[in-house]
Amino acid sequence: MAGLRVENLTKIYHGATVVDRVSFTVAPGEFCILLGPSGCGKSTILRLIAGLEEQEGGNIFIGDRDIGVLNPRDRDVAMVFQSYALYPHLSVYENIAFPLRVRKLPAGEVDRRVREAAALLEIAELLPRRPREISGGQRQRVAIGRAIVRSPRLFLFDEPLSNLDAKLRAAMRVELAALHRRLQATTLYVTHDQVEAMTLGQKIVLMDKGAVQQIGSPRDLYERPANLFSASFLGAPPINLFTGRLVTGSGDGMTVRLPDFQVNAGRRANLAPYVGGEVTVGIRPEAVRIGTGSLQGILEHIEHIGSETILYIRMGADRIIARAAADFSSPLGTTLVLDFDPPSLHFFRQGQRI
Amino acid sequence: MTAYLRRLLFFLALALIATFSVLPFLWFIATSLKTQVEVTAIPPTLLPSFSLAFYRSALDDYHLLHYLKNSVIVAGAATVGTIAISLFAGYALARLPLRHKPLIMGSLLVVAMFPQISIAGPVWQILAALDWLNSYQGLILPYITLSLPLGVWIMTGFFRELPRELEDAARVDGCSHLQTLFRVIVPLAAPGVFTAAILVFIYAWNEFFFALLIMTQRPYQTLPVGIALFQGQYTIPWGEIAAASTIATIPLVLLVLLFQRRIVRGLSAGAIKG
Amino acid sequence: MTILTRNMHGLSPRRRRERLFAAALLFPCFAFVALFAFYPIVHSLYLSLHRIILGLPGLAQPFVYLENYRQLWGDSVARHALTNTILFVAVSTTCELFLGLAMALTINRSFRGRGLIRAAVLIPWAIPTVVASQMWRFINNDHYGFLNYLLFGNDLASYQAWLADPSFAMVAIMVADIWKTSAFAALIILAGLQTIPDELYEAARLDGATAWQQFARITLPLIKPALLIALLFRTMDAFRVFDLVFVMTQGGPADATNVLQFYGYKKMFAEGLLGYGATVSVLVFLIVLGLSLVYVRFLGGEMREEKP
Repeated sequence: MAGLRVENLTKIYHGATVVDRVSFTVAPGEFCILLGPSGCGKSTILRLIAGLEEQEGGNIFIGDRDIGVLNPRDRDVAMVFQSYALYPHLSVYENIAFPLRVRKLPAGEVDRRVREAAALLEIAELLPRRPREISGGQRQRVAIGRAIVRSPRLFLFDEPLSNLDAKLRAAMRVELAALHRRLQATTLYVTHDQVEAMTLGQKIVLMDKGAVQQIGSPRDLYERPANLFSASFLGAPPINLFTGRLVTGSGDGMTVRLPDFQVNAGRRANLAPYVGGEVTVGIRPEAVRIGTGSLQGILEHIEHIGSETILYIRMGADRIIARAAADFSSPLGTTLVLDFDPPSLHFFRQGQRI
Repeated sequence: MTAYLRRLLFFLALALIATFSVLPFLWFIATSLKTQVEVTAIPPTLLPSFSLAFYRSALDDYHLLHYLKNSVIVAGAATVGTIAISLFAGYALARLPLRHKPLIMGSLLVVAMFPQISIAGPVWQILAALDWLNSYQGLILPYITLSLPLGVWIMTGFFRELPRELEDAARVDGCSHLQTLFRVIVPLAAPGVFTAAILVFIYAWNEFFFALLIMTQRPYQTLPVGIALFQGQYTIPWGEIAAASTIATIPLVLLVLLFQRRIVRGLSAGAIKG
Repeated sequence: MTILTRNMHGLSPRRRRERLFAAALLFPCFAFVALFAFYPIVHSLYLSLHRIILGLPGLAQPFVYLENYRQLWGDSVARHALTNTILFVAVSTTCELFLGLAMALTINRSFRGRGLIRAAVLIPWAIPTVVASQMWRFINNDHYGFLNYLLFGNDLASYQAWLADPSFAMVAIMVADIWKTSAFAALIILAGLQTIPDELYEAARLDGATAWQQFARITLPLIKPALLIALLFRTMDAFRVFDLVFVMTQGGPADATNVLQFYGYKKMFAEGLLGYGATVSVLVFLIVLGLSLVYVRFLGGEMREEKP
């Protein structure tokens, strides 16, 4: 297993820069997620690494090999596609065997490896069937089987779960994680689904509009978002954001003054340089305390989703989202008392974390 | 207008269309099944006595089998040739990077419009120089050329519809462009090839102008030439002509009946997507 | 930042190889087309500037400039052939479009036995043109023909020799062509009809539109591209009419059904005047080319208008 290093990768398409000097590394055996909204360039990066497209600039290294100019067949990379891309005219067995047959491996070796992969993915009984005869989830496994049978140095996944229904997706997530633990394969996985990213990834490369926004572990990204995009993208329901003026309050504490209320920031020595200026405060819904505090708001909307309750509360010109226990009940229009836990606050200035 | 009346008119229109389309040909088939007396009866007899005399005569005295054999060889070979070339050309035009694609496709379309007479002279000269007049290849090669626009158009449209990810998967799995073509694309081209083959075969089977021009000796003549030049000893042998025509047409009618959906799709896809 | 090495065309080695591969795949196609289509067209032009008689190789083949064209200009038979051809194209194409439209509209609704009707309609198209020609020749026969029987029954004295009548012979040929190829127009128009979503008609019905209004305001505008394409193909084809004339009338009687391609064929191969025949063929080519250019511009405009 080798590591992946991408340096300043750039792709220009019809004059528009879709991938803008992207750099990141994936350690050998690491499961790295390329996360971002549609159109952010993540699938393009995958295709560039696979060699299906050519980059305008930048380098790609697998191990210490510079693969940037090589054909896909010479890069020793395997890919699982969003729509699985199984060969309809071949049986499941032949689909999995395809990469080996192209490399003219002896029949005995081919058979051994195919059966090994099929056993690992529990699709041995599907081997004689055709792709059109099996279900979506099964096709997905066949696609994965085709990738692992080669024992490549790098695995690429292009949103493989997005064509599955929610329940199957959840089950496959668990299986993919188990598979990765088994194979310890260097993996680059593209998705727009943050749940997948948070649960599967050891490292996340968050992207927007062709540029890297933040790189880190799922916890890093969630607890210390580097900019407003990161803060808003991760977390469901999304983070609450307010923009106001940073002023010094009582004692060493700071306060963010908004038109309708103010937020107590606690002691924040690192924010000293920004006093007097405009800052954006963020607080995640789960960090909003209902029932105590110095702030208040009007309950506008309530959603009971079974395991908990989501509250939509109006505070002046802003509306925030908070989480409450499943048994929370209050009529709409009630004024609620609430508080923001100071240590859980995030601060941003001009989009960047401070 | 009441709904009932409208329905009546509708079925009347249907009946008219069906009759108009089929009746003339039914009349001809009926003629082929008559006896000589019935054919030359004035006024004509309507119902044949289902005699096969004309068929026997056409086969024995008018060399029908010869013409049939030649048509099969020429149309068959032309179809195979056109399909092979169209498959590769169609894939290149649909999927590979090429400059001036619209120009290339446009020029192919122009070739399809050429009046036969405008290329007849030089084609004849070329074949005469190669001593390929009255030879199978002398007719097959122009047929391939003239049906290439149709074949390429169909194959290009077909390949455009294939999911790109299949080719991506093949390339990542280790195929070169050539291997992708033969291991993945060609096996999947079957439906498109089928449609194109039917249409090209029908064209080659029916073609008359060049067959008339290039095949002047009976051993090599195809069905259309044979049927057009049917000469009797003293009178026009209508019965035999009808019999030969029926035999010449049955394969095509069968093809059309069996594959009408494909044919309709193939003809209109090229045109509508145009 | 490393920029991939590009050759002077701005292409990387990989892309260059792809282009070469594509060119190789296209090569057989273009070899054929160049040799048997493009070269002959150009050479026909060359031939038309010479005086060549087939079968008399001893005779010189002098370059005669535009002498052939001058001769063509004064050739009354050629003129007659031209007007005949134009008449044929105009009448038969119009009829085929109308008939095709009627057929397509009727077949478009779903009903039991639709496949059978469609098959019936396709049969004339499947029949070799030569067969159809003989068939209609027989139907028009002065003694045994079905047409005479249909019109006059047992009144033998009134039987006409339709194909020997200069005024009727062309009609007979047009009827044969319309019979044979209306199905083609019908198919193209049918494909266009099937792209119109039912909801449009349903909405119109709710809005109170009559059947005619639905046809005029929804159907017709939306099948305009299909109509134009059918018109284009049929016009091009109609100009090339040959089989029908050769079998049914041989251009007669008295050149009443002489058409351009038949005239060219006679000059070139029956009379062996390769040079003069080439002149006729160049004329036909130019007409067809001009028409197709007009159509393409017209169609291109229509297509461009289509895109919202």
